[in-house]
Amino acid sequence: MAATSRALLGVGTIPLLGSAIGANPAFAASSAIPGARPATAKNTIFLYMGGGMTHIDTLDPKPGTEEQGPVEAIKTNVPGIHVSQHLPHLAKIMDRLAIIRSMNTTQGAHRQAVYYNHASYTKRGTISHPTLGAWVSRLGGRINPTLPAAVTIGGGSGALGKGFFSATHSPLPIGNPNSGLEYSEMPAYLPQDDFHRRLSLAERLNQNFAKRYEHEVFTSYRELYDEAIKLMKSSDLAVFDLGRERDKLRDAYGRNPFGQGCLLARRLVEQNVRFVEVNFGGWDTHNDHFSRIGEKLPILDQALSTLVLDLERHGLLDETLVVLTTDFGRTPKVNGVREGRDHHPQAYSTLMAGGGIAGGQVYGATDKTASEVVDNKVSPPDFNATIAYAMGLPLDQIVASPNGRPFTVAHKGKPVTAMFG
Amino acid sequence: MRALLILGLFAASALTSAFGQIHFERAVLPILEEHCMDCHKAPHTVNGRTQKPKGDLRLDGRFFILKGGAGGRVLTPGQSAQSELYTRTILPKDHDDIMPPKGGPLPIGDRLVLKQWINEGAKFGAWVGAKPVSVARPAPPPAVKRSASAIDYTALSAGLAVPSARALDEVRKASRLSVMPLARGSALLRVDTATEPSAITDLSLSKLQPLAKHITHLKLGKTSITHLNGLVAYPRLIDLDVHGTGVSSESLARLGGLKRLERLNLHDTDIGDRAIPHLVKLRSLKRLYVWNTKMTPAGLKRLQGALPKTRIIAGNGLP
Repeated sequence: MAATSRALLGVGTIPLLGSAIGANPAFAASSAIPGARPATAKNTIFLYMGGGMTHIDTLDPKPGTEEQGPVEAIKTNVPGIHVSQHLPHLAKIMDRLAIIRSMNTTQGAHRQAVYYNHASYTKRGTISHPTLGAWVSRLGGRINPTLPAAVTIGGGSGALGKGFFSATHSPLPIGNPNSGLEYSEMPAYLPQDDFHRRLSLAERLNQNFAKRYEHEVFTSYRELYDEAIKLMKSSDLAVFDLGRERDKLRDAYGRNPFGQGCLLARRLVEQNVRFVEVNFGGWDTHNDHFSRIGEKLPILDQALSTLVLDLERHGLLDETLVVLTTDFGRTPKVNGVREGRDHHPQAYSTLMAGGGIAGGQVYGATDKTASEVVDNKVSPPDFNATIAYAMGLPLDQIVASPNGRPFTVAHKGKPVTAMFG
Repeated sequence: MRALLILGLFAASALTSAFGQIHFERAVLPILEEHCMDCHKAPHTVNGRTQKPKGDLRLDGRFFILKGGAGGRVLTPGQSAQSELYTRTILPKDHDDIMPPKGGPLPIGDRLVLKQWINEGAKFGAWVGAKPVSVARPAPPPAVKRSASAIDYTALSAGLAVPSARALDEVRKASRLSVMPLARGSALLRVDTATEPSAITDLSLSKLQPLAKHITHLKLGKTSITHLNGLVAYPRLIDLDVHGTGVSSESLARLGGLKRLERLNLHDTDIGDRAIPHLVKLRSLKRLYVWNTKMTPAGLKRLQGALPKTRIIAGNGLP
């Protein structure tokens, strides 16, 4: 009778912990992995504009053309570089920024474009590729052993994750930056001792299962729990609490999910999280384009300029690479009836700052109407290769999927080394 | 018989130059054109398909004849017995390798011309024939801009041995800091706080001494260190971060000897104008972070005047 129930219990119990039981997370060793070359960036903040952000109305204005429409171009604090009138704060700090005007992608549909931008491989049915943050975790490791190497703020459930990597490389998802990391507190009714006793019991029940089914999925699941407990017990958890920042600074970032997400990103890189993605969606302006970007661009302008200046005064901008990218651009030709711009993968703009990138530069160019790239084409894999290069990650290191297929961090992408200063 | 001989000699003289040597263009080229070039010329289209030169050997230009083909050189000037251009033509009629492969062996006269031309040095005279098309090489990628600000880590690590894994581990355990080579195989190290920076004390910092001369980046923000006495032993230090610590203006005196220090982060500390005489000694400083310190605006102005090449970053106008 007892034997049967034990046998029953040995199969399919919830895998729980190994080392975290009773363990005092005294000294946890950093597991950073030295790179292929000295890095200029220790961390990356990856700002993703979901939906395809227009380029002619933001970073690549063409004043005087019919395509430009009602949005004017303004000077920046770098002679010769102009940006949209909707980005006045960014214009004042152009000397810290680098604009890439020659982006070009092969993917003109949202799902595929988002996938390509994050994975550097095109979406296909045969495998799930890891997102860039997961690659940073896999190739770069963690400097702070308690926090995950990668965090994704916003972005929804469709976001790419660890792909075929083990669970420990999953970027930690944060839905709403204002809520912090939810469900991370110990329940009030449960004293510490009881908690540990429960964990020990679960572990004993687990041992038979562990002995019989030594499988990667199982160990990876246990690692996930291990890490969750470690995080719950550490003081690093405070990094998620935006309430610790001055109200006035929170106002300066903008009291909206993107603004507060950027503030959380700054706090995370301060605690040595290697890769933080912050999402800002709603850029798919097929309809009513000009009034919608008139509302969204000030949010971007405020959040990004505050982020760059805040990182700089903390001394973090030297080693933090801030990048902004999007699905694709939007047609310079306005579609008549709906007053909108449609998808335009042939040419679009992105932005980089810090982490070794020379400020005050424009890389690449489009033609008179911002329709085609004429100089120095950059693809999404090239963009990601540049990030990996800045972080010192090996571009040619092959990581094989469980079925033996080889993959690299940016696939065929070549880093734009000319942008480093 | 004699007439034939005279005829032959007459013909030969027409085919030779003034010095009696075989004239390539008059004597050899016609042979090549008639018997060889159908197969051994530039790639061309026949019936919509591209025909490549057989055996990768072209004979329609001086460059190509001298170059040879897939099997190597076919011509050794002066040595007809070593030149396949000749030796393949004198093989038995049904030999696999005879050239030309179809239409029978070359007439004896042609073979003799080839042989003599080669033995006389295989001179082409003025003839050049087809020239190789220069393959457009892709433009070389722009050289990585080594701007003045790029740090030459290779030069910096000259003379340093790569620390052993055991030495690194010992220092990590003793100091509780993250100690990592700048790159695989580099002798240079960077130090960051791993977790709980407040647990790092002056004692922890002192545990780094065995590797001090390897360390280029020392990030000790928000730690519990109180002084910088040990820093004289860090000749290769490029980046020092002591923000949010209790270091005093006086402790900065210890940094005077650091000739390579480019970045110094002092934000959120109590350092004040008394630090200025020490800071002005840091001539290599490119960035100085002083937001939220006790330095006065007047003091900052003086400091900037004394360090014109240094960018001094205070609050950036943010709250």
